[in-house]
Amino acid sequence: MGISTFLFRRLSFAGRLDELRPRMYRLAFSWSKDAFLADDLVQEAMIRALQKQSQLRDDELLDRWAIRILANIWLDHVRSRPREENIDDMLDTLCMDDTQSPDCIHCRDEMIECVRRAIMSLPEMQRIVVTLVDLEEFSYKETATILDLPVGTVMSRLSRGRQALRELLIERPQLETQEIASSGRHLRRVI
Amino acid sequence: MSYLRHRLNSDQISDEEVHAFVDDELIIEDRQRVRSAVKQNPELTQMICDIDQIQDWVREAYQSIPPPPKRLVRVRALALMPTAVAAVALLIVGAMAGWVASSLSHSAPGGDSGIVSMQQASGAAQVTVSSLMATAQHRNVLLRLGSDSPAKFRETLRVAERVLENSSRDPGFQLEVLTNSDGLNFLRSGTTPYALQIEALMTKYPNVHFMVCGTSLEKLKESGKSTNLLPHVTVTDSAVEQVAHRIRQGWTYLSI
Repeated sequence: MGISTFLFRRLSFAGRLDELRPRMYRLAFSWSKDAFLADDLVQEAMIRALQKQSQLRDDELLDRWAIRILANIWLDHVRSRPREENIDDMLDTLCMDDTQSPDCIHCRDEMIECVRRAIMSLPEMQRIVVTLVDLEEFSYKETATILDLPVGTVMSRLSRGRQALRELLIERPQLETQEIASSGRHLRRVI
Repeated sequence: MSYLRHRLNSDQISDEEVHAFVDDELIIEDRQRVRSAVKQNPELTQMICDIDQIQDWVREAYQSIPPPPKRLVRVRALALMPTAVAAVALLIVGAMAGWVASSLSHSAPGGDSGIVSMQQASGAAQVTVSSLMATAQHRNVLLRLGSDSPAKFRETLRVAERVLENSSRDPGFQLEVLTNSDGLNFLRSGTTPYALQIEALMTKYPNVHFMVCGTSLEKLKESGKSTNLLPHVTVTDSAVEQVAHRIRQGWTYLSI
């Protein structure tokens, strides 16, 4: 390797890693829903990436490699600190206002909060897979490489994760709307 | 809702396949199979619409997110590289060393052909607790602790004391113990059970410095907790910046 190539690779590695910061922060935020924690996770991931720079065999894989480091740091954090919330609490606090799906909520902020809470209620690996595929638009194979999982496992976690979101954000609100509507009809009949 | 396979025209379409269809991850044959199943089953059509809707919501939910908290100094990966023009010469010298090391590793059987890391460039081996404690250190050392595990803090103190002892003949040797996140509690006057040990270490070795991450301290302050630190504990802008700074200066860094 020539010195100019060596210098270029050294500088471009750091520069390209910096460019990944917004993507990594967005992902970390989607996993943690905590700006401070997300920023800490990204900082930690960047330090580790710089320390492990020599392990990156293909420059083209930098984003997947760095996100893999980020995911491992996040999973370590989760393992060391079990979540205090239980699923019942999650469901209780899950927006909805009993009848509204994100689609019919007028306030966009409420809709966003609603979806974020639903995503937070997913088991860790389902949440990570859903965000890697739907947010980062990684292919199944890329997601499997990042998480060191078989493609079949990625597919089943994605399917379960999206199905849970579907139930929380679409089916449950629709069901509740129907129940209210039918009780309304009943009242009209009595009158 | 369906967790079960959809039985259609003796074909079985799994939920995973429907998702893969939406994500364009199926091979042509499977794609055609799902497409023809969708035509005959409104439930599948609805499922595809819902998946599409979920994808839109997920993207929209994170299109605009709270900005990262303000730090006094924002660390960039490039911070590990000297950026001032005056430092370019230093970079070239370092790179030359790395280049030589890289060339050597190329010529060695089984040598790595990947990028040479900063540690490799300076000829340093992988740092571990045992390697750090084994001999006197020729380079200054930074130990970092980000957890509130008492076992890890005791380990940190043990490593620090051994390294200081081994390097006591080197008058210029410096060792920093940096805590961030929950590790900060070990250096808070109201929360640490190790105040006496830390004080004793600092008295015995004036070249040891205990530091806390300014960002973590700020976060603690915002949560309304006491931020009183032990005497002589200093505050650095951010742990990451400090680590980057010390690595750039050639210090040995170990996260415990």
